[in-house]
Amino acid sequence: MRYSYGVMDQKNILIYKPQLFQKTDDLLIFPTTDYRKWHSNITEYIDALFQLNAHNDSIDVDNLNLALGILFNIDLEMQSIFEVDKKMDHSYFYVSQVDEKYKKRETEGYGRYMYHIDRNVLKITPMLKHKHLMEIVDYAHRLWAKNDKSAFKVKKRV
Amino acid sequence: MRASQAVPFGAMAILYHPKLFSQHEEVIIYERDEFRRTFSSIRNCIQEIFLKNHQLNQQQNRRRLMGEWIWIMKQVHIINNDLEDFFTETPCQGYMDTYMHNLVESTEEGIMESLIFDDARALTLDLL
Repeated sequence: MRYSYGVMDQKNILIYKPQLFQKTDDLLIFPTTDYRKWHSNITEYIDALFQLNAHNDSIDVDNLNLALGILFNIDLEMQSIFEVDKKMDHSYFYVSQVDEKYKKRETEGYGRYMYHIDRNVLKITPMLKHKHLMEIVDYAHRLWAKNDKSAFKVKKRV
Repeated sequence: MRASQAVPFGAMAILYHPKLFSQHEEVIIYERDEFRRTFSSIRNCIQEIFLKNHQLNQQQNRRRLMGEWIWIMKQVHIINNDLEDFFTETPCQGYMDTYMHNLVESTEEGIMESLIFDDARALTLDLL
């Protein structure tokens, strides 16, 4: 995502990397300290969710409610982004120290069912083609045999 | 948080609400559409989780909880990725948008006239 820092200079803003933005773009501008604080608040909540996931092997209803509470807080934090009067607590900034391995996404069973998902594709040789043909012919023979019997029975009844 | 929209003008950006910021304050600048894209993606993920929970409550089916938890963590993973997107410089969809070469030269007066000097509170979530 394109972003740049800048500094307030009289009524306008000096952009440090003006080459990123085009003439027709609309810009959104936040004060850096407030924005960093807002971002760190949300990362703190997200890390809490990852911890919750790591601590519990089996999730029960209480943990789900806790997670939903955290998510609700994130939603509140996001809704309050444009509230001018809201004052932020700058006494600390959260820096995420959660190990990357806890943030990894869980696999969706691909590892276990790998052999079922990627099946080997056979090369079709003339021999195989012939075999396949004969199988169809056999199947057709069986069907004909069935049909003959039923037809015979019907004829007898009449 | 204080926030304002702006229009780029050369190496400068002309603000809608310059009174909000103090002199020599450091600011961070985003492209509005790109910011909206990631911001609304995070909010949508959260909304989806709430809806899913509502569904679970209605069905009174707590046995499905384990399966749903994996799904929830999947959404959380997407939220985390989007959050990291705010401070990474790797290209996102915004870079792939078409660029129209604009021959009209912008003047500072022209921009100042077109700005809307409303109340600063006019900037709401609907605008994103």
